[in-house]
Amino acid sequence: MAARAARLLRLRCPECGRESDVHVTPDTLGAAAASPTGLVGVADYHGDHVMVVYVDGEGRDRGVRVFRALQRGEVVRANPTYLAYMSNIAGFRVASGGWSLEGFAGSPRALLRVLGGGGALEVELRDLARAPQAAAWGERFLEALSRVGQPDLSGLLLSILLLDASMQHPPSPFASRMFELALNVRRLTLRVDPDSADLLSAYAHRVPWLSPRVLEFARRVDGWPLLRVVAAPDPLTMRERMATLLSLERRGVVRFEVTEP
Amino acid sequence: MSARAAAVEALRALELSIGGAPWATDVLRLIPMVPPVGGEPDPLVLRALRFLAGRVRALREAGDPWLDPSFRLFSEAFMLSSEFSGALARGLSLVKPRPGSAAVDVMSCTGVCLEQAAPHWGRLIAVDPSPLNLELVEERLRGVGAANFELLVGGVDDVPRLVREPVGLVILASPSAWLTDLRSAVSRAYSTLEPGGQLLVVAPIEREGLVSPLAPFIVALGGQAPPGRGRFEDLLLAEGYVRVRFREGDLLTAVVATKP
Repeated sequence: MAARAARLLRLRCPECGRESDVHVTPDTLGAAAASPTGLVGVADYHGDHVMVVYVDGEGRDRGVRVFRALQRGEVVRANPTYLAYMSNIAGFRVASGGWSLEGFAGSPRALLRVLGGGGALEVELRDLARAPQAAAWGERFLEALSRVGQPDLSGLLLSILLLDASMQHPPSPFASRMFELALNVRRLTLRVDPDSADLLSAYAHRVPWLSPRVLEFARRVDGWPLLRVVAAPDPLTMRERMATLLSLERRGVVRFEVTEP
Repeated sequence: MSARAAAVEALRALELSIGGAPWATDVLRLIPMVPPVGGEPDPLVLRALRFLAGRVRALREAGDPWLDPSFRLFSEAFMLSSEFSGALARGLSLVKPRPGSAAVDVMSCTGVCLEQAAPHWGRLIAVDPSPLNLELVEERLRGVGAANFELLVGGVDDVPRLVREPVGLVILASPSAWLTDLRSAVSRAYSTLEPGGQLLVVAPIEREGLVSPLAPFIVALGGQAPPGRGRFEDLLLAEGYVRVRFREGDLLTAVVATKP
């Protein structure tokens, strides 16, 4: 059988109008051909939403949908360009509740499999030395996923970026909260308590990881959707922002208000 | 700068904020018993206590103040004041670190005590009923590069069950610890200590007959007014502790006692 060639589809997102290059890899073509429907979705992460392009076994564009939550039976693949943001994870697959989301640049050499909370996470690592920490962080991610229920696609993709950025250190027993926040990211709005911010600003210079400038930032983003607050050009900065917000939340300086998108 | 002057000044804010509350009588009865004091109020202590005064009603009505982020914020601000840090440092200077042994901070709250103990103790254990408080402890300990620490979710009564091996130091110092039953806390600490181990308490313990300006805040939050120095010494001796030493500060007293 002849090998299928990769294709590049240039599409305009119906939600935000952004023009995106979606890479259709030989693996994706194979998955579409093997799928009962003959189609496979390729997800392109646009922050507060995800554009999914359905392609057939020949790599043709068979429709575009903007996704918010994954549905039962849904199988979505991340656009390979998404993987370029990550330094530790070369590919991944998350499956839970009848849906799955995956992103691989090619055929994975070795996969680390983590199970928990009724879900499964498989990760292809760039460096296998990170495996113990990746497994520990993966458990925290799955814990959070089991608590959140029906996940939001953009929250899932943000969580994978955070997972990638977190593997330098072992997780704390409470690390799953970061993923819970990420998985709910589209539903949350940041609110600042001004009196608490004033008190913290009096001693923030003596708190590890915080500074008075963080309080200025928090006041500036009061009322913003959480997704807009954590949006950053790279996963490490996103993780830093998330950690800072959690630190402020512990002190009652910020809270995350649930607002339906 | 006087921490006591700050606490006395903040009592006005407390008085204003609790008026009409069904439990306010006990607090309002205590406030006039606090002796006046001169001096420039410590600005951080004053801000922290005024903040607490503004939140005290909600904290009291919700119960278990140590679970609330506002109380956590107040505690951290107060514990980073020079008054608290000074009292803690005086107490720690009386404690002899024991190589290979652990220091346990009960009702650890923000982890400020363990941060200060970290250079002298190989193993650190924080016990607190709030996982969010323990997140703060972790944040702080990682910030100073401490690696060998344990975070245990539980209250004073859980300490003997959670801390399996006897330890060299038990710390009872955070504002959350002031809200617990001190008799029960020193008793639980005793059963957790190894022979020769020490208990360090930092609290607003006054000479007999005097009322600490922090006592009305403690009562407003649902705690008991702290005992006088003589009564607290009797309590420690009755429990079996020996060599009880007091180091008084402006507002707080450090007490160190040894398990024989």
